[in-house]
Amino acid sequence: MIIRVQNLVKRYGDLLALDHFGLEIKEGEIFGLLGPNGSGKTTAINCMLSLLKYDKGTIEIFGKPMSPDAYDTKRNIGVVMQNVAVFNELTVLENIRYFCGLYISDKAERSELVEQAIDFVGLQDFRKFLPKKLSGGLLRRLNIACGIAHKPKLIFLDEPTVAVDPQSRNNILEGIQRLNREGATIVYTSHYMEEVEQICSRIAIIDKGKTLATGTKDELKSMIKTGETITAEIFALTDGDIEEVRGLPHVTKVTYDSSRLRVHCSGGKHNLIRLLDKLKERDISFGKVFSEPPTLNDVFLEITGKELRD
Amino acid sequence: MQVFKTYFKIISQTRTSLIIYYVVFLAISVLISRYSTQPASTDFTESKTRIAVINRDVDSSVVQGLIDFLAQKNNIVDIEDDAEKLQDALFFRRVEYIAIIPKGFSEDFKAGGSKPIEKVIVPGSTTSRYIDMHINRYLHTASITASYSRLDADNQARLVSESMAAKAEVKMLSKTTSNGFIGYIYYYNYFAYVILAISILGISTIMMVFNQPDLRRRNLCSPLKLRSMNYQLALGSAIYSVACWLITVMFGIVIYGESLLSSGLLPMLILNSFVFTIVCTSIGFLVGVLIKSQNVQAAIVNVLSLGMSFICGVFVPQAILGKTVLRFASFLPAYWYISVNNAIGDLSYKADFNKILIPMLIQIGFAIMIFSVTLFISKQKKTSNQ
Repeated sequence: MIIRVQNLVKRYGDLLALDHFGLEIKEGEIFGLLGPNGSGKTTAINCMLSLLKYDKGTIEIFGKPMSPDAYDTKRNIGVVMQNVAVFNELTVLENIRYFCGLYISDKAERSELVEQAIDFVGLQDFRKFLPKKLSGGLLRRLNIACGIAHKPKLIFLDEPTVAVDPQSRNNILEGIQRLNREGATIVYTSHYMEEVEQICSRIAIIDKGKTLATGTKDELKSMIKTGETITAEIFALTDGDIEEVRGLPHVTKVTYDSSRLRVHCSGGKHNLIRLLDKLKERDISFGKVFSEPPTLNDVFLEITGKELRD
Repeated sequence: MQVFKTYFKIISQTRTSLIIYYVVFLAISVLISRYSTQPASTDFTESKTRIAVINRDVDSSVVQGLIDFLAQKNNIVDIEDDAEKLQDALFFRRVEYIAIIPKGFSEDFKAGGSKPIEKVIVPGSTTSRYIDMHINRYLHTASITASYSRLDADNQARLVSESMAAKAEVKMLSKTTSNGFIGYIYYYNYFAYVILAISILGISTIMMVFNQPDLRRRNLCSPLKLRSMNYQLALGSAIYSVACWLITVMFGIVIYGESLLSSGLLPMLILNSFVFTIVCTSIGFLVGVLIKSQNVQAAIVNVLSLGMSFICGVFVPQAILGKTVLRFASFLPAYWYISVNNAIGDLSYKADFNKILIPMLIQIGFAIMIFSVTLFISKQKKTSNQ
């Protein structure tokens, strides 16, 4: 295990930020911490990095207890904070050189790593730019370059795509996957379920400081009753038709609104075929029909009773 | 030494504003030290007005006493009691004031009456007011003496003369030291304000950058030891302060040249200013750890540098400050710095080295204490609860 957190408890006065929080992360994973804002993701990461004191629990990284003085452990960790943490007074190159220099003392090696980091995030044309001259997306890329320039074995990325345009977001996500392919273990926090679904090999869903479920996205989706949701464009539908659809196997909920029929299923196979057969049988004409598999939001909704982005 | 190198990169980014500050401070310090040492008239000389006193009454004790008193305060010119001659005397400005003691004045005064002394003055004369005051003062005193004493007229007049002769003692504080080397002592006193302001401003600016919450947390995630980081920051701050100190000292030598170099006091002034620079470095370090915004920084720089300068004797000499103020000021390092400067100024004739050594040690004590507090706070912030 690269990271083992057990029974972590952290209070802010009366607020219980982490409630016996626990997780285990294996080497080579992209591990996603998914939860709404205020669920405890950043608190958990700050405790893991020993930036925050906690009330109870144990944290081990690389098999050793993590503490503020665990400098050998810190040497192999890269951190990309939620807020951009760079010197506004230094250029892009100087910033990356500074943060890389905190880990790598050899000048030649450092220079090579800095160049690689600049190439990695695509900031070649902005070396001499001060951070205030960079756009939001470029600034995020600089933040990432500062965090990963020393080629760490373990990288914490705390919501690195917040307030980033779609193109930069895709670049960042591709970059994270590339880092993982090059051997880094990634801990990735986000409240964007699409991102987590896209890049994470394993996911922990957390809310109110608790780990609600952990597993691959398929494992998580298989934990819930909710299956696919089928949507069909139908211009005319009687109550009798809707009742007929509701009677189909595995159908849990049927809604009809604005010429859109939505059929929620609780797993099972061939739900779409059965629905189409039923429509054909009752001679109901329809337009576009599509089926959506359950999302992590459905998982979160079923576990907590609320939307991920509430 | 990443932190150390970055320290100076950040300084170079903010150098323009720091240089402007510094040039202004130096210019003001030179102006003030020069202006403060301009020879100014400090002696009081009473001016005397030419007057004439015409006595149409008898030569009584009160009349004679009044004439004697006026003679002490003014120049009495003898003029014949003739209307034309009196007018001529006024017209040609031989006198500015003619007091005429009317007939029967003494008897009226003795009876407690209020027969006035007549006067003829040059139109628009301002000095006549003073003569009026002299006459009123004398008559008022004589009236009180007559009312409350049982002495005869001659003794009353003598008593009144003695009372009128009493003077308040005015002690003029010497603005020069025994050596007369006032200019550069002022310069080195003013140095306290300059180095306080520029050290706190410069060091806290850099420290604020390193203590931005996100950057600080990012640094704490790295294998850089907090102790190493603080050492590098302290080293950078020390070099910055020493550079400021060196420039100020060199500037003083350029401005005061031979008089300063030949005084024999320069080494001690330099040593004292160096010790105080260490104190200022520690204060700048502490302020940088505590504050987060530039608005607060500007307020703190002004409050600390101006406040300390005012109550510790930088702008106003310690000899003039009240005891309570000085007692409070003694809890501040600038007070001891100024004390040493004053003692250095008096060194040649008093030669009391304890007055120099002990306050310097106290300043070093302040620096150690402030540095320790700063390092403690810094360590406390390493892992926060929030």
